[in-house]
Amino acid sequence: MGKSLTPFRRKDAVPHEKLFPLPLRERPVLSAVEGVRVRGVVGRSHPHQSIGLRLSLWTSFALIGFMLAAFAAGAGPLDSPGAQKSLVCSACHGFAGNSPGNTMPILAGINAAYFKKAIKDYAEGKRTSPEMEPYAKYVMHFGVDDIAGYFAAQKKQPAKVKADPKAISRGATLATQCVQCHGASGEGDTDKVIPALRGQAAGFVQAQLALFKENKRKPEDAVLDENKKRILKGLDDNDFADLREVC
Amino acid sequence: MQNLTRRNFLKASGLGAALWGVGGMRSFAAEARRKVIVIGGGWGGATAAKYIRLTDPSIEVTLLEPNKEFISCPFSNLVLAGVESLKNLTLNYNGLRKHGVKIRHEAAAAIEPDKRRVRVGKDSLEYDRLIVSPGVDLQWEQIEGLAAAKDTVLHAWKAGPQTVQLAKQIQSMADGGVIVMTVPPVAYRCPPGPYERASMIAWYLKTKKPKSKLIVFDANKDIVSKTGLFKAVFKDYAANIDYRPAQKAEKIDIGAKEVTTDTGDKVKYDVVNVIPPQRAGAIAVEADLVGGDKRWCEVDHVTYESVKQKNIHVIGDATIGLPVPKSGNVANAMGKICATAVVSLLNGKEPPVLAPGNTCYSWVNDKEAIAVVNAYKIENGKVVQIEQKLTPSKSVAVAQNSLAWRASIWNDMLG
Ligand SMILES: Cc1cc2nc3c(=O)[nH]c(=O)nc-3n(C[C@H](O)[C@H](O)[C@H](O)COP(=O)(O)OP(=O)(O)OC[C@H]3O[C@@H](n4cnc5c(N)ncnc54)[C@H](O)[C@@H]3O)c2cc1C
Repeated sequence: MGKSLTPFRRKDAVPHEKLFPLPLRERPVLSAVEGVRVRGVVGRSHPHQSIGLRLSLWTSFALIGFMLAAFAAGAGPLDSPGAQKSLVCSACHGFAGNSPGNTMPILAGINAAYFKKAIKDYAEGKRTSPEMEPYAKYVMHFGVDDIAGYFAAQKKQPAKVKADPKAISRGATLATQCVQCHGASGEGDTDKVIPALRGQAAGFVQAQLALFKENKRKPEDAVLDENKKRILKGLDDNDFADLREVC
Repeated sequence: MQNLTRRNFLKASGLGAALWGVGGMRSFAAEARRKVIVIGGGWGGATAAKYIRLTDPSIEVTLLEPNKEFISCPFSNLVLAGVESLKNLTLNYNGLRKHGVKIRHEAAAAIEPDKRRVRVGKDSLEYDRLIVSPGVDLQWEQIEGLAAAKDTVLHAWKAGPQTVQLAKQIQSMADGGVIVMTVPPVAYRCPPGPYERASMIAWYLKTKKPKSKLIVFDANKDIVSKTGLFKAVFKDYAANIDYRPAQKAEKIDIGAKEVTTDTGDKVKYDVVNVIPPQRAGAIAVEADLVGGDKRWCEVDHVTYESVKQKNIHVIGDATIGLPVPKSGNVANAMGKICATAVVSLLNGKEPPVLAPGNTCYSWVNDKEAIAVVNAYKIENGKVVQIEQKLTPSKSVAVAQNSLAWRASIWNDMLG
């Protein structure tokens, strides 16, 4: 490694985060490469370190595991029905669900039950997204189980935008309220169908927090809804911008 | 490597014949020379080449593309308004090489379907299956005076040097000037593209040259895509944009700096941008892949095999007959589906039944965008739309999503 993760771009290309920063508390982009995000729990590092060094041990193990798994299976990565039926998804969500973009959620490693619920909610318009609604219907049509199984089986590649340490520390303080449900390191809860937040795309998390706050997205469970409302009541858009950095 | 492992395992275990059957054995014997050629390394072709290698690395893939670099048309309208630079949209083919795609930076000179060969320079390359994704050619001759003036009257409809030149012309125009833009009749590449361009130019005029005007002659009766959303945007720019539907550019006079339309209107310009009528890339026309209209290629909706020539698949803007727009997102989806079909067919398997999707963003100022999204399914062997949705209005959030889209899809094609 130690090379750009987007080798198809020019070396002098300006990362889009710099040209068109996410709104609020402009994110200082220390990484020179678009799509290379290093932040929060995944690892904070010196800007001059190589990307290879920046990857945590955890990441390396995950990568090796992924390669071994692919080899052992003895099949091309796209042979399964789930992989084929989700071919269209990678345009936005990245190969194998590892979105390199800031506001598109990473689907790799997603809890299958949570994925199915999200797809159903999008398809029924309970979760409003003009981008997702047609595709949710596509997924339902071609087979939500296959596609959920495929994404759940993929290894999440950590998000790697280098964030402002101050934002991370502010966010970490705020996040103490999230860990009750989402787990101490944001790993989620499979049994309770609570999504993992760890390593999720920052801009996506920020946007979802805003939707919850504006009551445009709502958990079905009344108690959860109450909890969320209570927590979000005291938080504003700037807090969401900090919270996005701790994932 | 993975496939070799599987093959050796099947061979060693004696299961090969039982599992693969007689047809399988035939393709097994032929495997050594399974070759795919891809013509065109744009949105469709680059994706197809990569995904064939990802799906079955035992297949040899040769990509023919004259350009050494890939330049993204999506986001090139932002360059015209000075909010993005072409270098950020310029990508290379190193990622494809890493996947083992053999790239020749040359144009295919001719296809010989009977011999299953493509002529490139002095060479003849053999293929088992050919994928053709040549994009569009511009039909200069459809507008009087255009063919002779095509080096100075810019289209900028293939992102590249013309994009930069047109940006310069717009940005060096004196305040109070008139820009004339002409939109061709459907079908053309990127239905919302002309209106995104008009919005970005109008935004630029409004903020930097408020006394200037953009006149848009549209050969179509109304805005072709995201109609309501663009109408609202044009209202915001009312002082700087004059949209004239159902007026087709018929003549251009570069001496008089004048455009004449089919309704007889004549307008003088300081800067002109003519988007000419289009058809499939010349190579597809010459290989007789186009239908009765002599413009576009009809294909099977599941495998993208040409209805006119066996073993030749056509994807991207060059196709017609599917209810999908000519977009980069659709070309990318077709590339992946076609790759899967080609690999299946070369391995004697039934291709999976899959349909494309379309996510299409248009920027309308330096920060905000709108979007249209279409999902499709296959019914009776044909692509049918499941649903289309539009974003309710322009927003920063949608623009941010478009940036995430570009990071993903560029990587999907070339990473
Ligand atoms: C201004 C503008 C904005 C756009 N915005 C968007 C957008 O936001 N989203 C979106 O999804 N789409 C957008 N599009 C549309 C998108 O660019 C096209 O739909 C897409 O490029 C089609 O892919 P393709 O593979 O068919 O053709 P192309 O991408 O054009 O690729 C064709 C390639 O074939 C090569 N070629 C041609 N002939 C030969 C030959 N004989 N031998 C070898 N190679 C050959 C060419 O050099 C070219 O590289 C936009 C288009 C324009 C013009």
